[in-house]
Amino acid sequence: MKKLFKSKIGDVFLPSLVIIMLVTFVLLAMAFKQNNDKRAEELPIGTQALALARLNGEIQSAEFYLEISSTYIANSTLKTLADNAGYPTENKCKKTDKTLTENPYIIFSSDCGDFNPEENYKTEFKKNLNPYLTNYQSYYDLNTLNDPTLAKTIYNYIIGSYPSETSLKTIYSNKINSLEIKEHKLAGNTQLITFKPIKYPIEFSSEDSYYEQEFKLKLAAPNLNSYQKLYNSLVLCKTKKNNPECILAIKTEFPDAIITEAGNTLKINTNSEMSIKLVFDVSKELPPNKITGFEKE
Amino acid sequence: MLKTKKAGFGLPIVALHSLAILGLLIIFFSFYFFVLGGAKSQEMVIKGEEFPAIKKLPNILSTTVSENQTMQALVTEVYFGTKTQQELVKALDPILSDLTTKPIPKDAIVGWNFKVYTKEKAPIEKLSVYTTPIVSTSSGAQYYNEYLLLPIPDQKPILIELYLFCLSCNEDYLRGYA
Repeated sequence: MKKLFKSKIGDVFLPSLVIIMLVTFVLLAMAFKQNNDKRAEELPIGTQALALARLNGEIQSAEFYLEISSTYIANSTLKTLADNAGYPTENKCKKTDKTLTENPYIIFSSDCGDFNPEENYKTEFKKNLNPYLTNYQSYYDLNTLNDPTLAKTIYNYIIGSYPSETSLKTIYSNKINSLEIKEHKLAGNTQLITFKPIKYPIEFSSEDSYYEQEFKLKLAAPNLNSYQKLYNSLVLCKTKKNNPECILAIKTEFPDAIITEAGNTLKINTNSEMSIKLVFDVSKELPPNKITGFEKE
Repeated sequence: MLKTKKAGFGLPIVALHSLAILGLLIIFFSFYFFVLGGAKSQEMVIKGEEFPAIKKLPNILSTTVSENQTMQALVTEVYFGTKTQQELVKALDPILSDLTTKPIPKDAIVGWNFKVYTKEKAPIEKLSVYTTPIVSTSSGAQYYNEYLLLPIPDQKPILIELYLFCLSCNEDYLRGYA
């Protein structure tokens, strides 16, 4: 060994060792750097899963909005229906003149078309839902990751155009704004509203990946039995053709009803839970009864 | 001594310059690899506080505050003026206080704020509730901002914001509130 260092070979060995070490260290440093650069290009494991969780939060918000809206709509629809003698706002019925104190009353006759409060309720509900849906707005915030700029660059490189916060918010808002009812069922004490499925794009996922969501709402069913009871009373009125007996028939079903006589007509406000308002003309035909799905007497 | 056969010290003197370079090399790369973290792999960590996936507001607003009345209904009544802000504060305060689950660090100010805006983000002060102590929060002290749109009968919806304000809190404290 001593000879080695004392020899000319020794003079070469240590400088060579230095060079080899230098090269090794530099290569090692480059390898680490390359590895880190490569890792930086990858999204952390679970990013897409977390994006899904965040989308779930967005869906939760939308569902909450729909639920609360539907409760209000159910109440306002019932009131509209009662004010229009069981028909929707847009109907073919003739009306009384508007007075200073009262809105016009529907003249309950065959002019109105089929009498089907259940279907009319659904029609009116759908109509009342639209303004609520239009007012919906998403407040989804994009994931930031540790370096949002980097994440976006990588996303653009690997997947395609990165959905900007604005575009995702707009997309999510539009999904609810244009939501449509697929099925509206009234069964027993409940009404089940199923909306058409929505395809939500997911942050950090490819453009053809979607999260499909079908909103379903379960609400208390409206009690439409009063319409059947009122209709039955009016059928009785038609057979009796006598106002006092007719009034008695209505009062039997609706003890607090407010009824005003004027010639052949009776202005009726059931003044019950639903306060159905209509004008009944004994000389006119009743609208065809198409009431289905609830109790008949 | 250099010429004695037993001497092993000839090496540094013979190759002093090479050894010096080698020493510097080792010191430099040790510093680069272990102090500057050149050998450390980049962390692939997802921080919980950056991904608040679970929404708190739908649960808060669905909470029953009195007989047959939910928080959402109470907020709506305060909006229409049939209930007062004091009633809202009384109902919300225990719920918001329950959200602060960790012992508050010394010298820190922590609390949850419940603010209400119009859909266009104009504040509706009568509906905003601040947990005690009330502090004027700067944007830098707000965390976990969460928004929820609440429909109002026959009117435009209102926007509810919930956030944690935390002054003098470190990252460790904030973690876990997501």
